[in-house]
Amino acid sequence: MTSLETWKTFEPESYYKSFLEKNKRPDGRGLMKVRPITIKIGTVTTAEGSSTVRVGHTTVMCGIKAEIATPALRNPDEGFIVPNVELYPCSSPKIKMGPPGEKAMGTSQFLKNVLHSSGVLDLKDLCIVPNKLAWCLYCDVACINYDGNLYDAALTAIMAALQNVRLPVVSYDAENDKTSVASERTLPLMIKLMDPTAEDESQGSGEVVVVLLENGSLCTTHKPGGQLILPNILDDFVKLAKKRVKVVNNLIDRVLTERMDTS
Amino acid sequence: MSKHACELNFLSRSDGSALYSIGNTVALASVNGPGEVKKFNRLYNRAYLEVSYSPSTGQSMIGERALESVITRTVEQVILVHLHPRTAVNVTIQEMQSDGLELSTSVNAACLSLLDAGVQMKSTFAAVTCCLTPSSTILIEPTAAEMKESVAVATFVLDGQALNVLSAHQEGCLNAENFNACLKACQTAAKDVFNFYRQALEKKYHTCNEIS
Repeated sequence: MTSLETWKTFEPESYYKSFLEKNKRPDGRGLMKVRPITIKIGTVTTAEGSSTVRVGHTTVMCGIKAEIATPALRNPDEGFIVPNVELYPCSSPKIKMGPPGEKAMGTSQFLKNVLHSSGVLDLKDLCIVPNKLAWCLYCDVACINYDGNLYDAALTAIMAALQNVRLPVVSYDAENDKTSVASERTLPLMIKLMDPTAEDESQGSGEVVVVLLENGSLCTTHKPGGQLILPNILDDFVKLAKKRVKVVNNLIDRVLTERMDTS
Repeated sequence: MSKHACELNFLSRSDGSALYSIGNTVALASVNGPGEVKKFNRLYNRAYLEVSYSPSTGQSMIGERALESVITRTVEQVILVHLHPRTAVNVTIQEMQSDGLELSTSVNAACLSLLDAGVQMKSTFAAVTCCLTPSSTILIEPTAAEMKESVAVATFVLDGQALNVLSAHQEGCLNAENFNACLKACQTAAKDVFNFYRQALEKKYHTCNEIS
């Protein structure tokens, strides 16, 4: 073990502090510099929509499966969207086999909150026949390699995959109560473009996630505990997020158009 | 603002407890510790904090677990964990009645039960929930029905010294202007909550003096 590694193991706080004082992180990245992001669409051919997103080393796959379900009695003209995050034990030594941990559950809930409050997808669009048939979209997000910033990666993946979803046309015969699914015709979902953006400090003692819509309104702010921050710092986070919005969004657009051209 | 009510030392066997209600939402928090810790949770330089939240009906699902983690990470920053290495502080929150304000009620209940147990903290903290109605007025501590009608719901946990933001949680869309307005409104409301804390604790220690 080199002396640097020893330092890191025994005095992690002073180790990080010495880098932070120089406005650098241990891997040489600047404090405000984001890691490169790559997006691939349609990586899971058996799913209705899918994507793989890499933010630095963090790798996240998202597959969207569509099933036909009966709408809930409370909202007979709405479908369902069910996000679920899984962190595989291969993603990080801190994650063990077994039921989903706090991180996975927290992220699932966060995604659910974002999808519902942003109105990215109108749940009414998922309805086929009111009170009878509606689409249920299972958005499974699997983290294969966890190296921080799961919120950002997961949200980008889910947004890219949602825009890639092609649903078969379903026709319903009310007289015979029969449903037929046409496999050849597909229709894309109407997705209001939304920009997943997050500022996340995985090594630090606090994190703030800001999700913005394209028009700049805040869709979700999530700051679970962590260091005290002053209200005006929140504004700075929002500004940072706004910049990121453009980058991520342009990237998703480009990937989508590329895929349209090839298929 | 809805009516706040609180009863300290509600449970006889725990180190500290508080029954707290905001409007029709009621939560019971109990604190044990710093005390014995499970081997795999033992931390060499600080106390381990465990928060468990159980809903009034049904089992704890993802929503409750997410709530738990927000509360854990809020409380963790406030209590002086480094004073008691190799120990655990257990905070148990039982939802008694629900009217939409679960997060703020349980955070406030946790704060008062920690004060009741005498766990050392940097500062007190209080959570305030507000919602933005479609006519863009801000309602402080809305009911579940009002929340359903609203555009966005935001909860802020603020510290007792400078009213800085400890945690923020938002559902629904807000623009930056409205967000700041919500924060301002919550900060103003938090002052009243802290005054209420003071009254509750004064009452507790006042009755103690009378007995002795």
